[in-house]
Amino acid sequence: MEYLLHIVVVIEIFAILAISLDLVAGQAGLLSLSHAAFFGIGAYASALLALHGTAGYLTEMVVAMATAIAASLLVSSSSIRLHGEYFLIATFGFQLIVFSVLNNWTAVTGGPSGLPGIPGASIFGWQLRSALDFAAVGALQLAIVYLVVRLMVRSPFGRVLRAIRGDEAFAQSLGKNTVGVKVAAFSASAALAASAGTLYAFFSSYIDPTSFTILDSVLILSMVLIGGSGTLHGPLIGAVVLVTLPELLRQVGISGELAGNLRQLIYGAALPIVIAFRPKGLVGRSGLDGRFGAK
Amino acid sequence: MSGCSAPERGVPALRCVGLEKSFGGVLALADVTIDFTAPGVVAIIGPNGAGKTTLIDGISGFLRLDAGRCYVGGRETTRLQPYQIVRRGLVRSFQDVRLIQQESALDNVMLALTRQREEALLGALWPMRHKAEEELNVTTARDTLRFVGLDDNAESRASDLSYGQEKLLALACCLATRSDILLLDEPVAGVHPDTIVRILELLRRLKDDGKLVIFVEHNIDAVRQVADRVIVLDQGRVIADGSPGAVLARPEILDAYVS
Repeated sequence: MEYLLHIVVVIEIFAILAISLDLVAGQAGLLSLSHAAFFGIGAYASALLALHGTAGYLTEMVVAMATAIAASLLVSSSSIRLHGEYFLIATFGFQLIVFSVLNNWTAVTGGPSGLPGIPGASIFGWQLRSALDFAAVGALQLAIVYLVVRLMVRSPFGRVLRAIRGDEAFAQSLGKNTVGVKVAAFSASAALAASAGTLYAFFSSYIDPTSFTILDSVLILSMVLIGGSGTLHGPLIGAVVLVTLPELLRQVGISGELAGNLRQLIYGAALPIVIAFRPKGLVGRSGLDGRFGAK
Repeated sequence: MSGCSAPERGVPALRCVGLEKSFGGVLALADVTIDFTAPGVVAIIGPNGAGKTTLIDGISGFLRLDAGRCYVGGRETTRLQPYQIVRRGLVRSFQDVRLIQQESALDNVMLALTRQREEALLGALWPMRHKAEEELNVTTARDTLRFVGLDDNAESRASDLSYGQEKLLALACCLATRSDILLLDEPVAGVHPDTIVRILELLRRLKDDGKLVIFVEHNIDAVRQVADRVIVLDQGRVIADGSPGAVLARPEILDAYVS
């Protein structure tokens, strides 16, 4: 039971990450490989605050989100005007820098040994202890993130995001401040990713840089693409599939180490297979068709 | 549709002063100075490479000019971003029709209609606040589609429209920005003759509504039918400017561009 709940929390964390990435990747067509970095920034900000103070879960989460927004502005200010693969490479660079900082700034982040002993968190006096507590908080958090992203997607703001994906120059010609809208969407996406970091830090009570590598960014982007970008429920399904699959492998008697390696193989194979046979993702309508000018 | 920048009396709706642009040593615009008054339908003609599209790109902020200044309604717009120039009341269309292909015709017009404050990210979290405005915008968008004759295609995806319908939709999007000045890049090129008639009729009606329509066109028949002023560009310079009757009667212009 404990094991199942553990998987549920991991699914919730990755679902939040995938849905928040879909806001920029699926809607605006801004593929990003820095989502694990924002996840990590959120986790470290929450953990550091918890280790040096006694603030509660919600305060930690707000600080984590604010820190991620500030970090996202560093990326935006230099790179948001870049298109397609150039933006992807810029976010790739940011991801590597953040990992480097987490891994080497030993005085603050603990370096490779990470931050152990993150104290328990509480929400309005409710002390989160069991995996069930975290699964419940995670479910609520996921529901809120889903709802928030859905509201954004369905609003005039979302219409501008899709216009940017479809034809940014056209959107500008109709009076849209596309750069400003992209900066706002990227910040929101980073902030929501950081909120998943808060959940992760308190749930595992120990964090180290290996949870926030470029491979994790690739994994989150894979969840979006495999599930179906631009659909919201697609990334959710992508997260469920990609978290559950390796666990199922373990269940059929494949050892943990082998399962870990197989997992990488599966991710590596799943992406080209899905793109070849279901280019619109598992759930259908692709958010990417406009990017490639398909009619 | 009310304008964003009501033209003051005596001030040209659009003023271009000494515009210059060169691409790798090739002069695309050479000291182009033109005043445009509203209302009016002005045609810009000239051979390929004369600088017509460069002029539109420069005025609309899509291209940084090497020198010169632009004024919309008396206020300088030279260094502004394209979206800021649209908010001053000047909108442009593209030669290769640009639309959001995977969205419906209605959504394309809605994109042009909505104002920035409804598009704020945090505003998205309180949808009720903009509900009334959004409903009003749907009505206005349908009216705009009816104006260009696309009311039956409101729900069609832009990618399912014919080329002529796409041109009409692009025009509807320009109108939905409520701009007083429209710069149209080849509005009837490659369009079925029946649709050409419709587009030209719309341009006349826009002038009657007080708007300034400036269009680049190779179709001289179309120019003769709607323009009340013709400007000829050649190698980045204005070589003729006047009424269609006068300009298009000049033998050297007839020979060069009206074959």
